[in-house]
Amino acid sequence: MVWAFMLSMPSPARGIAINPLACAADDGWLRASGIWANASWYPWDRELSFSIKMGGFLELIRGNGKSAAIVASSEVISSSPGGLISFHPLAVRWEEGILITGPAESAFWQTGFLHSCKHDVDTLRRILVGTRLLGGILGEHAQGFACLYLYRTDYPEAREGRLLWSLGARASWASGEVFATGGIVLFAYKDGLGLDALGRTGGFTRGQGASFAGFLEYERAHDSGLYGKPKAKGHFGIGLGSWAKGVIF
Amino acid sequence: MNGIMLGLLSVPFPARSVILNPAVDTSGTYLGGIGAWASYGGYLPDTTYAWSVRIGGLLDILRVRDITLCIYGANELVAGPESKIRFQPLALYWEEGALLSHGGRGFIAQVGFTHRCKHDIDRDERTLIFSSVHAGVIRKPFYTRAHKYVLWLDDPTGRITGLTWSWEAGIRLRASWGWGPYLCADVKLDGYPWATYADTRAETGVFVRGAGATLMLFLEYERLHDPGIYRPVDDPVVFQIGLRATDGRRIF
Repeated sequence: MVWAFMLSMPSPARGIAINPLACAADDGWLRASGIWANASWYPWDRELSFSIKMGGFLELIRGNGKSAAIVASSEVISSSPGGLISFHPLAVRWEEGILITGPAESAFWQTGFLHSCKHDVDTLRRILVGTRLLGGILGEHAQGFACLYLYRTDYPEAREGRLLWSLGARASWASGEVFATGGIVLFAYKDGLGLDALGRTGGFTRGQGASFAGFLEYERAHDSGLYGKPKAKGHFGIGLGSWAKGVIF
Repeated sequence: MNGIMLGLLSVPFPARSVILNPAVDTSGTYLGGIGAWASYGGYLPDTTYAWSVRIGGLLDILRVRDITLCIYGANELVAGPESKIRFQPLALYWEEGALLSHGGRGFIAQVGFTHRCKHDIDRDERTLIFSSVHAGVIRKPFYTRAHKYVLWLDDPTGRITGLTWSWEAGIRLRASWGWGPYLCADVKLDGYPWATYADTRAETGVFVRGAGATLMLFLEYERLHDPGIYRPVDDPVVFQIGLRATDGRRIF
């Protein structure tokens, strides 16, 4: 079973689903926690070398079948090639927030609040901040989310039209130890639309406490935020990932 | 003490405030588990630094008898007090490594390699790389570890390229109850050809242990000879009050 959804693009947690209720526990405080990490290399890309993403959640309280958890994630993106060890960080993305999860028949509903930002490393090109409310459905093989942006900053005002809302959907399939996922996110600005996409396929294995995967991926961002001006970016990658078994997919 | 513990306790290593236990007694032989922690703390006073966030985790790769191989990563974001939402990122520390641990109850020997770097956020002040091979022992509640540095970069000051060795030691005292007070203290010596410098750290607070995680309200004192955030050696003495969450099993 592989679950995945994109909270938003370019969220560092794209491709990751968190469901604290997948961890069986009684009602109470601090019942579940977990982390995930992901590394992708871009051997066919002239601008980017690799990215490393990691994140996690901590369930604060569980009661009446519902869960409240804090979540956080980060991503560092490296340019290619450069530096003493071919590690030349270009930018970082962070995201943190609160997720409320509850049962919805055979699936789960999820709502919450997320604060995201993007910053440059060892230089200053563009700073992006976005704060949003989200709501959606987490199913075993399909997920859908809507986000309403409450606050956004684009320094130094690279894009004139404000980001208003986004809609995301994703489907996943797994058989044995092979999986494939794909999803899109539509972004609505005051002056137009943008479309992001992510597709991933590979193999995975499960240990007693963790799962480990190797995959091929393609992702496209209508505005990666990595450069001084809005610029679409698409690339293929090869990746490795690991996540806490059961609660992060 | 059950399993094998990993001490990553030093300054300015981003994992200095926790002890990792990559092989608790329920671990499997292959991908036995994941551990994680995260903390947020505000500096008092915050004239130079406003707050920091530290986050990290480990993954058990393989365990054969009393030998555990794990990989781990951690980072720390330090922010200044400017900006209207008190979020002016200054610097980011990263470390990633692999560790081989051997031992059982009471005594653990470890060898490993850790790559570390520090970068600026939205500015270009100073970039550091300081990676080491290390070996240490843990005998609860004490630990010690020695480092030999093998990879350096310090742009533009060049100062850290003289860092040859480090030695760190510390103590962790915590009650075995579900909640209560705790106390930590660490010292780290950095050896350069021209001098040896000391960093010190002490922390106290209250912890609450749940079934799936542990929360700690902490007060931390740190003296850092050269945090690397600015080009001059600023030798700060800082206090931090904050909240830390760990998974409560592998990291505490």
